[in-house]
Amino acid sequence: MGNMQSFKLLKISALALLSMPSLFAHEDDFSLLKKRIDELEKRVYLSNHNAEQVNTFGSQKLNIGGYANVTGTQLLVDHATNDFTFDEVELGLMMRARVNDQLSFFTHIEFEQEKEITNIHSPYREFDDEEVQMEPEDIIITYRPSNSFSLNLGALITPFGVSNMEHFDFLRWQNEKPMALREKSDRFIFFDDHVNGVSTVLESFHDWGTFKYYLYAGTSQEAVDGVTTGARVSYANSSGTVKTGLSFQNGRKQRDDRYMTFGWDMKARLGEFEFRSEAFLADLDSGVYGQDRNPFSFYFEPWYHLVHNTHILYSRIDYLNDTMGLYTIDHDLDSSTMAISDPVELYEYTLGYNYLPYPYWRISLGVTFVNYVGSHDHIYGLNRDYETIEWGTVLSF
Amino acid sequence: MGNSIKFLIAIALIFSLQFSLFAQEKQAAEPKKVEWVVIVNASNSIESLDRNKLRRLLLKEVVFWENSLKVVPIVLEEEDSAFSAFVSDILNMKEGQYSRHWIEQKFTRGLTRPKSGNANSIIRLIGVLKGAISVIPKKIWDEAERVSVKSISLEEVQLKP
Repeated sequence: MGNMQSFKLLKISALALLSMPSLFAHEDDFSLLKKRIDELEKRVYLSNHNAEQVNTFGSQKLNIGGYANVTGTQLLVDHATNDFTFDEVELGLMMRARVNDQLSFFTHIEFEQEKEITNIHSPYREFDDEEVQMEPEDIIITYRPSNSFSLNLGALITPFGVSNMEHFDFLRWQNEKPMALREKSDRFIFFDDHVNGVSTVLESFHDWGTFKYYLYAGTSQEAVDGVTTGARVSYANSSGTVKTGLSFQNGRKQRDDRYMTFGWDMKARLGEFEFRSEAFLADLDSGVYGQDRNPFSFYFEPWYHLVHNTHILYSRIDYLNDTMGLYTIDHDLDSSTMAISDPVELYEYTLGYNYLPYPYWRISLGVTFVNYVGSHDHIYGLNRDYETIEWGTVLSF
Repeated sequence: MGNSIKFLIAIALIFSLQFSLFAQEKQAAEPKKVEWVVIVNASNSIESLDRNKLRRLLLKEVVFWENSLKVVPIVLEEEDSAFSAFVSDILNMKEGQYSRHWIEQKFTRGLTRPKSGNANSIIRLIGVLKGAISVIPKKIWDEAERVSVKSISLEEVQLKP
């Protein structure tokens, strides 16, 4: 025990001797030490805040994200079997690489299993589209040398209206897009939502808001030998509560049909109330049939935040006068016969509810009443009106 | 319209009434008043900003300073007691709308939300990042140690509706 106590005493003395010089250290040594600690702290802060970064190859930064979507639809048709189908299971994978401050790359790839019922009025259901598909939706190289100018090259979303520019599944209140944006067997009614080509964006900033001017040209995804051109001008007020724009697209559809489409759109927020609305008018000159057709569509989609960005009640009134007969081209009773042109005029009335338990997870339930009007409101003597109930969930990551 | 549709509409209306009442209760608790200071790296030549430009910088709408240096906005973390007031006073948004805004930006422009931290860590970050800008409570700025950071004046130009 005596030895142990003397050993402890020896250790304390040694420590006291070692600490003596530090007590007499020069003031400069303290400031140097403090600087070094500060520098280390800064590095720790920086490394903590860079935790989400992944450096790869030549880029400064790479962000990966996307969404997963599961949607089911119940059809309620008076004269046919009421079917339920999980019509869409989809993974959207997005990446953005920043090569330097001016140059970046963005891609959005869709992996989907789609089973959309195409012949709604038939007692025997058939599914449209390929069952499984992988599609690179967007592949965009962006060069932005200044605040007011940017150049995009690749597979581009056409800047035509607010719904097309915000067409990602998570950003909609329900899976089904407005009628004007839907495609049938990769054929569109009003405008091509993607082109492979080039676009420029000019931005003009003012105290009272921001103007953006878009110009683009590219190869159409419908008629690969045609060139599609378009333009858009949009305005957003300085507080970001009102956005509105005018769009134009000119191109060629299948069978040498030339088209020009004009669009107007608006998105606005007033307290807990928001809405988006668009109108589309196309002028189609058919090279084969020599017919001049003018399909028209309009929708108004208001929503109300019962609890802000958590509980949302939404609705949509959607009108389509499809003078081209594209929208319901396969909606005849007998799906085995050749598809015929079926120009229809119809309304869709939708009411639904979205619940976002977390900002990145959206659960939706909506009902839609489809009301056909005009001379094509019956098919083989049967009323074409029907209802759908859509359930879905989308997770953004 | 079928009975099922009527039933669902009735449920939706009941939900809306219930949540409207809940929302009104929530809205009664307004964020407290905070005095703000705009801070940048000391090497930045800028001396003042108006609210429009500040908002554009923080939301990554404007991405370059006048000398072509990349803008690096840094904001208060969501856990900060002043975050709600920051979103409302400076960005003219509601708190929930801030998250939504960056989700929209991720999809439509491939952008991610700005880096965030508490006010003291922001001051240190701005000291080492030349293009950085942030807005923090003046009370914390007055008491903080400031190395290579400066405050700039905020021109009181109101956001136009």
